[in-house]
Amino acid sequence: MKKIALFIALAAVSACVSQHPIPTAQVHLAERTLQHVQALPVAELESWQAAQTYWQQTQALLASGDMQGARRFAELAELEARIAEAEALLLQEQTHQDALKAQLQQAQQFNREALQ
Amino acid sequence: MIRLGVGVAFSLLMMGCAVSPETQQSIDTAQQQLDALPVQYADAALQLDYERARETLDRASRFAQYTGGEADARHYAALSQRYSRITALHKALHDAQAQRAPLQAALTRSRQVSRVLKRYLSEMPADVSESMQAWSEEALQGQDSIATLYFSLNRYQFNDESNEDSVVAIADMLHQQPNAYVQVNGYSDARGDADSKRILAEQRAQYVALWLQDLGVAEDRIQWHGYSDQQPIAANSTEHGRALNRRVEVFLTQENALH
Repeated sequence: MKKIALFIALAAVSACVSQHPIPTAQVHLAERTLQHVQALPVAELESWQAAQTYWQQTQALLASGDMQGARRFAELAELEARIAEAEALLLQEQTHQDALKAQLQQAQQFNREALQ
Repeated sequence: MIRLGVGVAFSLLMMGCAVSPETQQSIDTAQQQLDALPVQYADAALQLDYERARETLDRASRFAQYTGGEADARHYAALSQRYSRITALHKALHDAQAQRAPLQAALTRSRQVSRVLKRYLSEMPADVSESMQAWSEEALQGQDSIATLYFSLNRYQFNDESNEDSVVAIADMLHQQPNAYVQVNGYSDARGDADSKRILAEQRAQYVALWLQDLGVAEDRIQWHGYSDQQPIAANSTEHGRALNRRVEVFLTQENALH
């Protein structure tokens, strides 16, 4: 959080000479989304790795004063994190249902064969 | 006149040359992803992501028309692709979640059947097989129902162990007689409107049929039918009579009786 504040402070100085405003809202939204998604099992997802790469690029561009680039990468980081979130939730749901199906098959097999 | 000339010159300057293949490819991909999605969603958040996919693609197409707009065009096309992906993933998630309740219900019923089976098998006397064989052969010869199951008011599920035990015994009998078929007739009492009586009678018959299937009886050996409040076995004027009429009667039949 402190790191971001520092980036934004640095960016504010750079923005004085830039025609693009500091993308504060986009950066905060990306950061909040990344923090939220981090709690899910996303580590091995390509989308999560892409989100992190975009986030690092956002920070580097903020530091160098490229506000337009920073805004673009912050937006991409947020959306890649949301893709990772949806992929992780879908995977969790499928895993849960696979377990239910296995239990159902086991019960059905017992029921079919018990009287034979 | 001068103002008009400046305006035309500005417009010409802003109108881009041909879009680069890379940018066009990015816009085309975004368009394909968007076109693959449904237009309307019941979920508001899902609808919002879809709208964003559409809006960002519109912006990409507009930027692509102007000189110097290529980078923005590619960026908005990239955003549109991601919004489409998010929409598709959340739709798949909603669809998957909708399948969970029926799956859970099937598992609950199968586990209930398993519990009843275990109880039936543990309580069954060792010599029951012979008497079951004799009973089923007798039932096949006769016209009477082999079992009558009674139901509570407005219910089609089993309330007590006696119905559960009866249906397991019927399944056991069908295993003893592999060539026999089973006819399941559901009835309601005379209260309520015609539709609710018909539906309840059908649900009762179907529920018994489902239990028999769960117990390993092949679907094509079971025929079920609802008869509303027809053929009452007691007067509908008393509570006791109505309770007797809320029933399912099960008949064992020869193969040719059904086909």
